[in-house]
Amino acid sequence: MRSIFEDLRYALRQLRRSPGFTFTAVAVLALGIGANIAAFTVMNGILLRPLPYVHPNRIVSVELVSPMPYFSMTYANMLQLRDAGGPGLQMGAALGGSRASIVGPGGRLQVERTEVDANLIPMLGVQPLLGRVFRPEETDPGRNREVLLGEDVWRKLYLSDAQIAGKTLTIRGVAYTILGVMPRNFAMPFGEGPFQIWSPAEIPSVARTAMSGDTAINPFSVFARLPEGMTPAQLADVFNRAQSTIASEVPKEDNWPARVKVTGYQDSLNVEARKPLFLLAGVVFGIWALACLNVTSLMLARAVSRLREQAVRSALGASRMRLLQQSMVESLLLSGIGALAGMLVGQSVIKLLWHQINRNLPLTSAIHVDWRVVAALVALTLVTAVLIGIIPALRVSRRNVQESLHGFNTTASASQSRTRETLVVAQLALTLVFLIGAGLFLRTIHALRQVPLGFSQQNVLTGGVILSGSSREDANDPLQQINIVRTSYLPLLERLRAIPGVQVAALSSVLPLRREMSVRIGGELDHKDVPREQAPMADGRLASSGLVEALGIPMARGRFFTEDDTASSPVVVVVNQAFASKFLPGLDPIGHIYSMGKTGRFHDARIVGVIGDTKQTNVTDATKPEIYFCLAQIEPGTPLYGIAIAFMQVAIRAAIPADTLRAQFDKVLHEVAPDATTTEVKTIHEAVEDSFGSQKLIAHLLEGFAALALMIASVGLYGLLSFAVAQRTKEIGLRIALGAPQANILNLILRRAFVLVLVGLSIGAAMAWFAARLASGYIYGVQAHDALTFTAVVIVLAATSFLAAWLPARRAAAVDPILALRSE
Amino acid sequence: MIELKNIERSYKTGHTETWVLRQIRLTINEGEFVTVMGPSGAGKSSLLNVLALLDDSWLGEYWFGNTPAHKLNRKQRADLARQRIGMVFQSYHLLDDLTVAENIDLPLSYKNLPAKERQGMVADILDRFQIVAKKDLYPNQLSGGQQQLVGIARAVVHAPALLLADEPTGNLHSTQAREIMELFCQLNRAGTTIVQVTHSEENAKYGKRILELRDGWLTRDEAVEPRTTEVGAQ
Repeated sequence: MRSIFEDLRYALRQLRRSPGFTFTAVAVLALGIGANIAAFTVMNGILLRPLPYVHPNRIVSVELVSPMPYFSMTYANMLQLRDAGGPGLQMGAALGGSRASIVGPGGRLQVERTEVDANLIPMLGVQPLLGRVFRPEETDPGRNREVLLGEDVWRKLYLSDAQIAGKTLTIRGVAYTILGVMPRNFAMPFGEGPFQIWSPAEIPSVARTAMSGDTAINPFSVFARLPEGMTPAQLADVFNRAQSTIASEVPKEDNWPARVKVTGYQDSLNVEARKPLFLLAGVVFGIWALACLNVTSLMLARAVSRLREQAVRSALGASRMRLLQQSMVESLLLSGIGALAGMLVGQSVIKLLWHQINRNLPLTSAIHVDWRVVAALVALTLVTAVLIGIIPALRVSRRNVQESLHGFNTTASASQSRTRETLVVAQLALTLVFLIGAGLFLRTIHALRQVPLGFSQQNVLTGGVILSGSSREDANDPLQQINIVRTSYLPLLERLRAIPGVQVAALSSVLPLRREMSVRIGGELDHKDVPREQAPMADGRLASSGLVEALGIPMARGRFFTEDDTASSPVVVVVNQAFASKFLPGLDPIGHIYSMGKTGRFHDARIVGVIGDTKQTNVTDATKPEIYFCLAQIEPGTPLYGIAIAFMQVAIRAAIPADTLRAQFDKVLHEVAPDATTTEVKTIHEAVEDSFGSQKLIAHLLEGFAALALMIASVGLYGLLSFAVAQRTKEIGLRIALGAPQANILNLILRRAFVLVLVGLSIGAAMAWFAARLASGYIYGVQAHDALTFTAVVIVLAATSFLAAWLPARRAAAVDPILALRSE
Repeated sequence: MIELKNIERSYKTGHTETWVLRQIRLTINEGEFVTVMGPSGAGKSSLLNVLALLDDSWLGEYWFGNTPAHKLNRKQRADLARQRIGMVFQSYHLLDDLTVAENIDLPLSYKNLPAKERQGMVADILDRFQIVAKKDLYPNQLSGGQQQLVGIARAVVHAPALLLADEPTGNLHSTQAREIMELFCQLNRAGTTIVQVTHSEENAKYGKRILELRDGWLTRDEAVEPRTTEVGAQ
């Protein structure tokens, strides 16, 4: 222990005396370790950190296996499965979710409200921080005006009031009693963001037995806790046996699924993220390997320059183990300092990329430093220390003590030089791979940005607006008894249009490249009864007048909606060019009739315009057929009124930077509808950039990695050649003394660099050729083996390498022969 | 104390074998001050390396006291050298990043001694060599003579039975050289067995016995009248 402390003290002194080496080694290690810790922090949060429940690996999600998307089991079905599972099985359900805007002593807060049955929270095993959970009778109709708060809501909105239980809060004019507060970090559903509250779902007794029909209720998520000793597969078997009987008792026309899927809840949340995260892990591992190669090379050179010291220690009685210990302590110190700096670097990188990470990965609320990340940091530090220290230490310990003492062969042996050159070649090769990857993704982003979007991106602010907040039909919901189009949306439009600087404001249920859900509808064209597969299916939208002006979408034919289109005028619709091409090819769509329903005003909706195609959810996908209905013509009882209740989006074109309108938009909205909530208020340009999704994140990451790799490889090459020059000072001095011109000396050094770079680029190009194939699924607008990218990268790397070699070569050419040849 | 029987050492380079020590038979008694002389390439340093147990590639028998060094493995030889032998080098071989005190402490740090005991031993030596004031200086802050003094202090701090010196005054001017040789005499009088390699006839007079090597053979082994002058260490 004492000897380790002495070695540590000596190592610190040594590092202080070599600031150039120390800074370089620490910086390179910090970047290599930092990238890995950043990646591990993300992976830990998404893949490893257990969910905040008791025995979270026993919580499973239960779904019906159905060919119809979004088919969910009814509550009655769930209860029957629970009974089939026996007395040891606990099940619970989340039956509804909505956003709400609530006010408390801490101000106004937008929260996610989840309606749950009384079994769900107890099933998770988590006790509330304050108060109690729901009782079974509190899901009876009229008795479900209670709420549990998330700890962050309690802290932010109610200022951690210890007497909160029993107080009330108001949601859309309805008073709820606060029963208690759930512990910090508790969330259900998990990964839906912060600020959650829970209330008991209203479950009428008839819904507990109704398998289908209007009285049945459909939870959006069903969960179970695996009984002791049971696996998900075993539970699935039990459920499948029961479900086949249950399905046989449901009317045939309902096509009730007879099979059930049971998945670990955490697995179900992160399954799509696993492949990209493992890919990321592979990439950062490559960066770390590069960093280790580089620092090992530096340590080798340093070890050679300290041969005499090692020989003296050996002559004075230091055993080989003792010398190894000293080397390892020094490399551990370097690695430790690099790791601490790397931790800071890693967390900074996560902060920098947070917007992209949050948009493209699930469970991001769980991404933060915990004991696993610290343990990984410690482990990585130790492994790095061993890797960078062991080879140089072993190499030097094999040298002959007497020869080193007497000054013989205190230079690098041929094999040591070969080792270092191999390390530099490996660094150059890896760097080329990273640079090619970065180049391909940068070109992808460039190509994506060139895709014509069909609308204008300038100065348009967009945002989602939720007035009703409920995704379920609720006869008691006052918003479903009044015409919110007339009472809220149209007045909102008027107020928005009156904001100074606003040129046009419009509403639409779907805006281009925003991720909110759209609705597919099927109707009839010109009252023609056609087979189902030929029926005109299209994405149905509601829109107000002004939409085309707000988004700058050209009209191909006819007109868009105007103020003259009202609830009492004939129903009009507008289609897009994709609809016209597909369902009315070669015809003028104007005047054709689109029918929804067998009777009523919407049975004879006339097409009055054809709107230009715009990109919808993704810039790379072809535009699908769309049909627009005029918002002003929608009222309770008409088709698509449910969309208006659920969700609308605002588009505001301004003469001033759209970003500056955020606060005014929020103010106007809450003046018109105090309980309204908003989602993703951002400019349309931001929406476009966000739609590039994971490609942009990958591009940013690869840019960073490529820059790192380039820097590390350049430092490696520079270090190798500098060392070689130092080692050959006498030889160079002699050559100059014998008449060698400067160009000859430059050539001596540069020629060696040229060979290394050529070998490194060749190997790297071959590796990149294969690696590019892996990326081909992610790139767009550029081939995986794009000649321009490969050529440009080779040129960049060659130029940087030349610069790294030039400085030592110049130093060699400037050697003073008198100084160089002076004997000791 | 030391007995060498038919010690031989050769170096192979390609197909050629060069003998640097040929059938060396030698006995050195405790308390002797022996000088090894000879022309360049005679095998002086090679003999010293064998005596120091730095070299493993020799043939023959080497008895250190009652210990057959020729039968020991590398680790055992290193242990023996660490305990019983001290070495002084022509180029001092002080570590530039250690202070005078730390350089002297270095061989002690490779033994399992309590820290207090080590500190005490270093303090004793600093005092004995009258370099206490310089204990926190670095080698580059000392003159050549002072550096060699520190080198000798380092070599004797653990009270070795045998002190080996390879051209200890080779890099010093005459005044410094004289002081160093006087110091060796003091150490010898105190009981340390000393073997020095030197080209200097002057230095040889400080010893009691001269061994001469030529082409690896021991060609002369005779006693010398010791000098009587005393000069204190500086």
